[in-house]
Amino acid sequence: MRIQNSQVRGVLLGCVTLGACLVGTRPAVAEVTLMEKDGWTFFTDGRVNVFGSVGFGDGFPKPSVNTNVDANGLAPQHLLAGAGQDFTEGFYSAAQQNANGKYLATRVRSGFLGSILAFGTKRQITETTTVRAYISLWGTAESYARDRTQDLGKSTSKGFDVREGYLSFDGPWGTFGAGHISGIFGGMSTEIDYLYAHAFALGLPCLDVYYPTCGHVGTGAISPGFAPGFVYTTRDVDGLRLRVGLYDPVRLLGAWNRAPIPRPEGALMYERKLSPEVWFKLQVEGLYQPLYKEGSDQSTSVWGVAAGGRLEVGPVRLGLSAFRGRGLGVYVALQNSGATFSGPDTGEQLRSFTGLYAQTAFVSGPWQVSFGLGRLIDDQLAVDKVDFASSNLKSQTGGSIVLNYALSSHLVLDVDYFLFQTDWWGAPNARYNGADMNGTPIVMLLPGVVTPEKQLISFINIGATFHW
Amino acid sequence: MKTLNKLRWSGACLGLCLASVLFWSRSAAAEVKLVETDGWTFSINGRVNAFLSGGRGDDFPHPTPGQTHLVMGADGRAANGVPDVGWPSSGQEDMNNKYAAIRVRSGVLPNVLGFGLANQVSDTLVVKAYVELWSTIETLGRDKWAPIIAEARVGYFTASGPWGTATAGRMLGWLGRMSYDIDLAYGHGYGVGLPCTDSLGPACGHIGTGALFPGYSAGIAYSTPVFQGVQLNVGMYDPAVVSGTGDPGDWTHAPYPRGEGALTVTRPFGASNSFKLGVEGLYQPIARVVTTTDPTTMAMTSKNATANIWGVSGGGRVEVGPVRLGASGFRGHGTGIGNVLQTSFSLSDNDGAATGPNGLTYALRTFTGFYGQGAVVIGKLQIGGGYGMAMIDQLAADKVNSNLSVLHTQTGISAEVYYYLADSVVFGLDYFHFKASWYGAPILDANNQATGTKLAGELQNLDFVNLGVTYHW
Repeated sequence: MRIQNSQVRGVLLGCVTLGACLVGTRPAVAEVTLMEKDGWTFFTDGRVNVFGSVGFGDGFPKPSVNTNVDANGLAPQHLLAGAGQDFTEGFYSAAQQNANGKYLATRVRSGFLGSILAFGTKRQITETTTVRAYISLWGTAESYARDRTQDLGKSTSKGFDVREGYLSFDGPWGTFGAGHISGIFGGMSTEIDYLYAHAFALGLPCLDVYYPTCGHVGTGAISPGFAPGFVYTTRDVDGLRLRVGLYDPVRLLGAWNRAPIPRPEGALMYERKLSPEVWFKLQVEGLYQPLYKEGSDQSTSVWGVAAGGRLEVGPVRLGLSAFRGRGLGVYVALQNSGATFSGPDTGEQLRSFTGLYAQTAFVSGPWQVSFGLGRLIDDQLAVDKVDFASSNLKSQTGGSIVLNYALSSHLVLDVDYFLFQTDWWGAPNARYNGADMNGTPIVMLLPGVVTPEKQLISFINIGATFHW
Repeated sequence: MKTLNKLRWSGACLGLCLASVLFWSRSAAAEVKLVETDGWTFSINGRVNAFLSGGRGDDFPHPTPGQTHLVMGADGRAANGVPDVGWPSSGQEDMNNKYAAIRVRSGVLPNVLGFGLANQVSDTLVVKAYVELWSTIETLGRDKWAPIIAEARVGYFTASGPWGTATAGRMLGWLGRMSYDIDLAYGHGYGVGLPCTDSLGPACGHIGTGALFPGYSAGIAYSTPVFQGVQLNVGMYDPAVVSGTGDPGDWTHAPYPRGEGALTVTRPFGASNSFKLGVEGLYQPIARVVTTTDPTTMAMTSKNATANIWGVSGGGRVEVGPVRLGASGFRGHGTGIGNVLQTSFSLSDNDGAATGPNGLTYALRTFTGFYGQGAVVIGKLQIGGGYGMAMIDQLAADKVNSNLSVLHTQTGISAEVYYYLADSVVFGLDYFHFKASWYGAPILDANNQATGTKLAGELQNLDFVNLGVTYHW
């Protein structure tokens, strides 16, 4: 009964949160009509791209050495969060760093969006209502982990990822979508990144091993991801639209396994053209999801709020966004990773994240040049501050420059640069102070921290995108 | 050599079996012709759907207290997202082992993208290739970051002429097709019914509770022309290995293709009524290597052992005015309770985690199912209801195995309401009650002899309500 009550509270709180929030839509996708016949319209869209991507700088750092040695010359050492794990924190490479801990590697890989082959169909079902289905298949140019045996159809690489598969009804009352569809929270920051920076570029590779890349996601922008859900968007009323969605609940596996209630997300967006040369869009977003321990009534919740805006004045584009939330993760909202929660010894408490992101672009004919700066901050929990065995993520910072040239309306060339810096908090200073009755060393905390670890790495990417 | 002869004899039996079974082809999928040029026709069909699916009731039962034993189908025995017996959630049980959760998931048929390319080779010969990509909308285990890998569920080509149709490639099997056909047409074609697993779809409808899913496999098949509504279908399929345990002594050998077939009769009667009857059959020989160690010399000897998987099924459906009725049944040895020839610890006595007092016997279990489904179509509304039950016969070894409680029955009761908003859009609301019961673990005496008594059988009751929409073309 307690669970049910808390579930009801959760839903109510989620609704209240959503009622107070605002969001943006995914940038419109161009489509090529293949056929119109007997009231059916079939269309396709997609893209193929490839980039040469050079990374150079620090490899994933080793934990700093604790020099607070005891009489035996021993000191408690720690682990560095994210070590050995892709897509958690920092830029981890399993085998590409040299003896000096430096990374220098070149890959040929996909960009911010992978290669996409999408099909859709539309049909007018009443005088005012149209139904539309859309399925997009995503792939990457690169093999998983540079291993060509992975090209043999293993699920880690060459199977198509059905990133989108939804239907939608459009009418004068708004739009209702259902299926595997984009999330809402994080939409504004991703939209800014897509439109003003990395739509035809690469930015930060999320992982060394494979996957479409991150652009500024993970360094201030947060991806809404895709999830099964139902999404309703009101019609445009003087530039104002409300979008609400109910999504399949996500587990934080290994920590918070029970996710019994769908996750509400929502956004409120306002856009206005002040003159032929000046246009702006503002939006705020929210997300809430209750979580429980398996076989227990112990509960917590993931929540997030985000806001941002885009301004276009003549050839100048400016985008600003920010988010704050608990249990969100570094890259994608509700990311199941070790950065999102503490260890089992400390109750797997959810960490809080803050993101700030600014992006500018200048458009001149076929040229677009962009500059971006963003930071993701991962707050320390109280338990992290006394955990001498681990140094956790403090922040990820990204600076970017993108130069695009549209050779035609379907072919875009790119050169872009991304500077990625990761900072860890540093493990609390500690030293051994004798041993207990069982001979287990007693660790005494000292003021300050062991030298915080840091990673600085740069990427230069050159490529082309053909899209339709 | 003896084994080989046995298998050859089995292969001969196969032909006879196929000649004596009955079948019809899958209901033709609607398709839209995109391009017709120079004798070529390119067509497309498919669907997209999403359902809000709420479940409430018992999570997978704990063993009845009294002695340590395994409940067949217990969580973790099957791979994540693979249906087995009972219904284990993906770690969603509360402190009282109750399940209450709402998901957004795909229906019995998930998102499907199908492409066809046909060529009129001559006046009497048409060759057509057809490929379907299937994908769910939910990711495995509620992990938002996990990819949804498209599955090429169907990929075959056909050659059709006045002599019939030959099909080669990956296609739907025959055994259980009548029950699957009834479930799709009158039950859950636009619904969910029972989610096959908590982790991943597509959903099962009445599959596993009386209906039998034929499954897809590589094969070569032939269908006769339809004569007076009668059609015979026979096929040879890539043999399936059903062990899945990694145990080298298990049924890991499947040397000969599997025969499946069906005979169907489809006839109209009266002004606008029709009926369809079908019987189906399957036969597959399997083998394993039995290794024994001489207790004195410790010398190891190996010999071959063989067995036959077989199944028969059948049913019919009738449409009289607005009323639709369907009934089906199956009986199979080693076939499985819901998905034909899918690896499961229920198929045979092969679970090393629940070995009986005489060791693993690897004996195949026998399965039975029956299913009835009705529907009434009133204008754009279709209202239906179904009932089905599937059961497993206990082996002699099961009756003395105190380490295992074998699944006894799985029962499903369903109700469905569909509203056809347009020819291509269907809203669905359906309810499914799932009940699973286990035999209970036998109680042995101090000498490991069966006492003839057993612990109370475990029980699971779950209810699902599903609400969603499908757009198909």
